[in-house]
Amino acid sequence: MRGRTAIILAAILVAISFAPVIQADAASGTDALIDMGDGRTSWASGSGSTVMDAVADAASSEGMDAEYDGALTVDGVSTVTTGSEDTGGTLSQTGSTGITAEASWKLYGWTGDSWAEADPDAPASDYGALALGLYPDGVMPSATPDDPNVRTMFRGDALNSGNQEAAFSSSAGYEVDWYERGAPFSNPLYVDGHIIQKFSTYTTGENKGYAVVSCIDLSTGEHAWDFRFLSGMNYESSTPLIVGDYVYVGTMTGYLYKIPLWEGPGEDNANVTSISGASFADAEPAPSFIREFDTGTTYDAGFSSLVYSAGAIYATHSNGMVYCFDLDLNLVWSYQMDAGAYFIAPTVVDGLVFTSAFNGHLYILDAADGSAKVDEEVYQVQIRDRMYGGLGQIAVFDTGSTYTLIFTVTDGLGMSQSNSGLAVYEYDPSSDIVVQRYMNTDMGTFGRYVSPVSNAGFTGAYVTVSEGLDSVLLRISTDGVVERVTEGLKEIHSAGVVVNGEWLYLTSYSSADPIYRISLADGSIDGVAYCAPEVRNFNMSSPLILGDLFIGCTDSGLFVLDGVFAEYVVAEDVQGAPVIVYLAVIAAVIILVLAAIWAAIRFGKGEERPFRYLKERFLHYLYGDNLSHNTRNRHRLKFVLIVAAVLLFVSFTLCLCIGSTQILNPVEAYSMLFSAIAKGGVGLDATETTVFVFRLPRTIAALAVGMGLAVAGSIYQAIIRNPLVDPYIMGVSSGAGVAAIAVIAFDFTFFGLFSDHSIFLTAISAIVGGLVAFGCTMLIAEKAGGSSINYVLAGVVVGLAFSAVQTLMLTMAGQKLSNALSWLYGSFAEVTWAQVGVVLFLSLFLSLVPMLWAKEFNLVLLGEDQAREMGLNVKQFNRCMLVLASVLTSVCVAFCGVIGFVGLVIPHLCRMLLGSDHRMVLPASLCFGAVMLMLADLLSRTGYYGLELPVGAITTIIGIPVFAYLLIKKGRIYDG
Amino acid sequence: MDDRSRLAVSVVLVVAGVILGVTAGVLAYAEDPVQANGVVIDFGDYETVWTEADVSGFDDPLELLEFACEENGFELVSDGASVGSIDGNEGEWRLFAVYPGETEWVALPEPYDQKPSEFTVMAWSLSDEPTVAVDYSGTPVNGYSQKYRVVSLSPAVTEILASVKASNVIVGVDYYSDYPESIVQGKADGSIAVVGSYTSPSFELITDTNPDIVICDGSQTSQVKMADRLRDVGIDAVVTYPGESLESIMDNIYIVGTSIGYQLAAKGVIEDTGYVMDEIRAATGADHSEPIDTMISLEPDISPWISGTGTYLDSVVTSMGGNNVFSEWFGWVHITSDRIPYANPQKIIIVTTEYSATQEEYDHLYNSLSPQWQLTDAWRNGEVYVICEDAAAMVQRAGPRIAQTAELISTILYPGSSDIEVPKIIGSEYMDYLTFSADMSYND
Repeated sequence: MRGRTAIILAAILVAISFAPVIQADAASGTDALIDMGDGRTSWASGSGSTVMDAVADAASSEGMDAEYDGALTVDGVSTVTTGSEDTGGTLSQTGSTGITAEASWKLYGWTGDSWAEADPDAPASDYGALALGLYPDGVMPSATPDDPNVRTMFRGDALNSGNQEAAFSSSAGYEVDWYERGAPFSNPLYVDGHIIQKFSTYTTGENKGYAVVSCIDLSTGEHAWDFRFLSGMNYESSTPLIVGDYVYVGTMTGYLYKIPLWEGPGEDNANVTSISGASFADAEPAPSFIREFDTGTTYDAGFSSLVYSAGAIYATHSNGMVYCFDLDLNLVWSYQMDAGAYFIAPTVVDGLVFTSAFNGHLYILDAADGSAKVDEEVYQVQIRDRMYGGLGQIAVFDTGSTYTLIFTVTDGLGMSQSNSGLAVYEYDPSSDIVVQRYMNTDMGTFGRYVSPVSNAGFTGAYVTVSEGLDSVLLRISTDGVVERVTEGLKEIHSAGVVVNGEWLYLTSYSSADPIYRISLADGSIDGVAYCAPEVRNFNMSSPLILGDLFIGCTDSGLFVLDGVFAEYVVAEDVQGAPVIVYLAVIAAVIILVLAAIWAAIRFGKGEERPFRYLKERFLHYLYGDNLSHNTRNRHRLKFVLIVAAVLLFVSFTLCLCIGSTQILNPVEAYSMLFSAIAKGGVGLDATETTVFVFRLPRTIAALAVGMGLAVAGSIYQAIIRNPLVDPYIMGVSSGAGVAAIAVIAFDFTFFGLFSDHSIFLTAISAIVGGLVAFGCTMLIAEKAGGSSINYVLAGVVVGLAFSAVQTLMLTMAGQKLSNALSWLYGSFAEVTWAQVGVVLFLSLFLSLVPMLWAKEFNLVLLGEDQAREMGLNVKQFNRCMLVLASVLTSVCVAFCGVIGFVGLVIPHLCRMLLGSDHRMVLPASLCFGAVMLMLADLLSRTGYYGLELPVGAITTIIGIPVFAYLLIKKGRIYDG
Repeated sequence: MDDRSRLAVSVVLVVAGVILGVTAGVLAYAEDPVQANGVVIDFGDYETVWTEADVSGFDDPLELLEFACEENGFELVSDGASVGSIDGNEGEWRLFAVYPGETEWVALPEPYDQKPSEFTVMAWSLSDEPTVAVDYSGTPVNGYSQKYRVVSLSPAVTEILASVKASNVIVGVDYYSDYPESIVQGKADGSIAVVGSYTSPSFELITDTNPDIVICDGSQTSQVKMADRLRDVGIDAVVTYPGESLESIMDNIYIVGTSIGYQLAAKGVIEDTGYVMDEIRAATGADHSEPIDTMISLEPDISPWISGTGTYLDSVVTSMGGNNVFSEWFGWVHITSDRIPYANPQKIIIVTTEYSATQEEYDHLYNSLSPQWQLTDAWRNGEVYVICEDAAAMVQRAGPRIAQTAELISTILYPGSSDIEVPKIIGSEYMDYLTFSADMSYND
C-alpha cells in the first residue's frame, strides 16, 4: 500500500509541478510563488524578461504592487521589524528585550532542487520558477514548484484560517494507506514529502513521559528522524512550526526547541537548541506558574501552538504570557495577560496579535513591541464562586477601515464546559476600540474553532455547534447573520479545514462516525470517509488534505487515506429507524396478508372461526391424545427450545443495548460489539468500551450463572425429591460465604498464595469454601447412610454451622462489613473478562452433563426402591449428581455471590409448564435460568439510576409474581 | 447411547469444562507487575522530587540516582557505595523500595547493587519512612500529568479534591458525595455526574464521563477492583488507602494531589493540617501524660458499635490527648454492654446523624441511656457528648477536615482550653466552636 501511495504522490507532484509550467508556457510566463511570510502562499504566472519583471507581473495578478528601486518593496513595505528597545521583558515579565527580528521582501529563483536568492535583473529564464517572499536573511520559502502546497503551522497560516489548497486527481474510492499508532493530539504539518507530527506517549505504554516529534516520509510512513523530549504523559496538544530549514516545537512542560528540518535532532539531540540559543542539555523552560489568577481555569499545558509571521514566532503560554521570539528563539517581547491560556495559537495579521485568555478577555497587541492596544472583557460567567471565561480561535477579517472578529466564547472549562456561544466584534485600529456586533450564548455547545471563508458570495466563518448528540454546521457572516448550513452531523470537536475555498472537511469526534467533506456551495455532504480501524478513537485534531491523500489523527494514531471519499448515504437513524425495523415491519405485513388470505379462504369454505383451526392444531401438536407420550414430549421440547432460544437472543440483545448511560438500537449494539472484537478489545472508543468491556462480560456471566444455578436446582430437587430444595441446600453458599468473607474482611490470602488484590482470590477461596462445606455434608450424610434425606439434613446442619461462622465474622468485620455484604448480596458488577471464561465454560459444560442422564432423573423421581428395581444404582447416581451440582453451585457463587430464587423457582416453573419429565425440565431450566438472570442483571444495573441493585433481590421481585401465577394455575401438580 | 458412552461423554464434558475454564482464566488474566518509570528523592515531610526515567536502563540504584540528580540539577555527593548528600542535604540517605504487589517501603541494605526494575518503585530518603509513593493497589502515584476531568468515588476523596482546589475538574462523584456545596450544586445542575454508589460504582457511568483519572477509595473492595478494570481500558485510576489514621489521611491527600497534578496544593493542605493540629494540642495546655479515658460510639444503644484502634477517630482522639478505652479492639466493634462500665470512660462521645442538636433531644438521649452507660464516670459527671447533624457527617468522614474534627474532639476533651463554651450536643453549628481550624472547611 505504501508503494501505491508513493506512486500516486509522485504522479500528483509531477502533475502539479508541470501544470503551472505548462500554463506558464502557454502564457509565455514564469511560474511564481507569492509567499506572504506568514503561511499564506499562492502561485501565479508572471511575464517579463528579468526576475523582477516576471515577479512584479505575477504579484500584480494577485493584487499586489511589487517594485524594485534599489530595494524591493511590496505594497510599499520593504522590511518588517519586530522588537523595540529594552523595557525589561523576560519570560515572566511584560516588556521588550531590545532584541529585534527582521524580515524583508526577497526574490528567489528555483535552481532545480532548491530556492536561491535571485538578482532582480537576472534573466527570468535562468530559473525554473520564481518566488517573492517576506523572510529574514538566509530563510527560504517552504513551498516549492515540486511541492506547491505545504502546511507549516497550526492552522496553515498566522491568521489561523485553516484554509488549504489541494489538487485532486484520483477517481478510485479511498483506502487506508498506512497508519501509525500513537497519541498525536496536535495537527500534522507537511513540507517536501514529509509529515511533521508531534506524538504524546499517552497510549503507547512505552517510554511513558517522553513525547516525540517525528519527521515521517509521507509515501512510506518511515521515520526520517525522531526528536524525543521529556514531557507530561498526556495532551501534548500544541502544534509545532516549520520555518525555512527548521522545526520549532513548544512543549506542555514549557520548553521551546529548534530542530534542523533535514538533519534532525542528531545524537543526544546535539543539533537541538532552545530559548536564547541554549543547547538541549542546558535548556530552561518558561515558568509554568507566574502568579495566581483570580479568574478562569489554569491548565498547566505549557506553550500554545506556534505561529510565524514576518521573521517572528508568536505563542501564548498557560502561565498567561504572550511571547514573541526571533528565529533563534531569543525573546523579543512578552506580555502578561490576566489569566492562563491554552494551546490555540494567537492570530497575527497586519502587525497585530489577536489572542485571549481564560478570563474571557480579548487582547489585541502590537506585534512590533507587544504593547496592548485592547484588553476587553468579552464573556465571563460565574460558576460556583468563581468567574470563568474563554474565547476560541479568533478569525480576523479586514473589513475596510476596521477589522471584524468572529470567535466562539465559552466558560473555558474545555470538555466540562456548560456555557458557550458565538460572537462578532469589530475593531477600529485607529482608535483601538472594539464593539460587540453580535453575541448569542443560547445556540448550543460551541468548540474553539471557526473556519473563516471569504469568497464572492460570503464573508464570514463556518462553525459547528452541538445540539444534543448531533452537530450542526452554521455559518455567520461578518454582519452577524447566522445560517444553518448542514444538519444531522455527528458530534464534532475538531477544527474544520477549508480546501480550495470549495469544501469544508470536518472530522467527527468519534471515529465510529464519519469524516465529512461538505460543499460550501450548498452545504451538502459531498462525501464521507472513516479512519483506519486500527486507530479508532476520539478525534480532536485537524486533518491535512494533500489532494487525494487525507492525513488525520485520532487519540490512538496517525492515518493516511488515499482516494475519493465515499458517497454520503443518510444514516439509518436519521431516516427514523434502522433497517432491522423495516425488515420486521415488512415481515409482519407479509404474515398479516397471508393470514388474511388464509382466513378469507376459510370463511369462503363456511368456517365461522377460521383461527380456531390453528389453535387446535397447535394444541394437538403439543398435547394431542392420539400422539404417543414420547412424541408429545418431543414436540413440547422443540417448542420450548425454540421459545427459549428466541428469549435468550432477545434478552442477550437487550442487555447489550440498554444501560444507564445510553440505549443503543440492536444494530448499533452488535456493530459496536463486532467492531470491538475486530480490534481485539484494544483502542476502543467510548461506546465500544461500554458494550464490550462493561455490558458483554456481565451479560455472559449472568447467562452462565443463571443456567448453572437453574440446572443445579433441578438436580437437587430431583435427587432429594423435595420442592423446597435450592442449590444452597448442601451448605455450599454458606461455606463459600465464610471463605469469601475471610478474604474480603480479614485479608486472607490463601496462605500467601495470592496477592492481596488478585481478582481470583475471592473466587477461588469461595469455590474451595463451598466444596469444603459440601465435603462436610457428604461426610456426615454418608456416615448416616447416604440416603437423600441424610444429605438434606446434613446439608442443613453444615449450612447452619457455616452461616453461624459467617455471622460471627461479619460482626467482627468492622469497616469492611459493607464489602462483605456486597458480596453476599450477589452482583455481576465486578465481573471482568478475566473471570467470564472460567464461569462460562465450567457452568456450561457441567450443566450439559445431567442432560445425558435425564432418564435416570425420571427414574429417581419414582422413588429409590423403584429406581433400583429398574436397574439404577441409585446411591452412586445420587452421589455423583450431588457432587456435580455442588461444584456447579460453587462455581456460580464464587464469582458473583449468593443469588437466590433462580435455582429454587426456575425448575418449578419449567415443571409447571412442561411436566416433570427431566428430558424437558433440564434443558428448559438451563435456558430460562439464563434468561431470567440476564434480565435480572439488566434491571439491577438500570433500575435505579447510578446504583447497582442486588441482583438476588431483583430475581426474587420479578420471579415471585410469575411463580405465584403459575402456582395458582398449576399448583395442583404438587398435590400428588 | 449406552451407559458407558454416556459416562465417557460426561467425563469428557467435565474435564473439558475444567480445562477450558482454567485456560480461559489463565489466558485472560496476565498480572503484569506495575513498574514505576522513575525514582523518588525524598527530603522528608512530603518534600519529594520525582524524576521520570526508564528504570530498565539502569543497572543499580546509584546509577539511577545519578541520573535523577543530573536531571534536576542536584549536586550528588557519593563515594560510589553510599550517598553523602543530595543538593546540599547531608544526612543518612537510605535506599527504600516497594516490592511488586506490596504497598510498604522496605529499606534495602548496602551494597546498592539491586536492579531497579525488580521493584515497583525506589526512593532515596533522608527519613526513616519515605513519603508514600504507591497507592493502595500497589501502583505508583507519581508520573501522571495534570488532570482536567476527575471522577471521585467516595465522599472523602471528593473532599480531598476540594481541599486541593480541584473542585472545578470534578466531572463525576459517587452518590453520597455532598460536600462541599459546589458538589451538591454540580450534581443538581448536571455538570457533575453521579457515577454510582460508594459501595458499588458503575463502570458504565464512570466511563461515560470521559475521565482523565478516577480516584477510588481503598476502603471498598469494589473500588479497588474498579481501578483495575479502568486501567485495563486505558483510564488512569488511583486507589487511596483506607482512612484508618491521621497518617493515612495525609497520605491520601498527597496521593490525590500528586496524581492529578495538584501536588503543591496537597502539600499545603498537609502542612496546614499538621500546623493547626499542633496549635490545637498546644492550646489545651495539657502535657498529655495522663490521657483522658474516652469512648467513641456510633449510637446510644445498650450494646453500641464503638471505635477501636485502626479507626481514624481513635487516631484523632489519641493525638488530642485522649485514651481510647476500647483500644484493645480493632476497627468498629459491636461490644457487649457489660464492657462499658468496666472500661469506665471519663468522656463519652456519640457520633450519630440520628439526632437533632437540641437540648430536648440531648436530655432525652442522656436520660434514656442504659444502666450500663449510667455506671460510667462520664455519665455521672455529665460528660456525655453528642456530635450530630453536619458535624457528625464531617467527623465520620476520613477526609481533609480532620483538623476541624480534631479541634471539636479537643474542645470536648479539654473544655477549659478555649474561651468558647461547647455544648453537650453539637450539630450543624459546629463552626461556632472552632478557632484554629475555622478556615479549614475547604468549602471552595
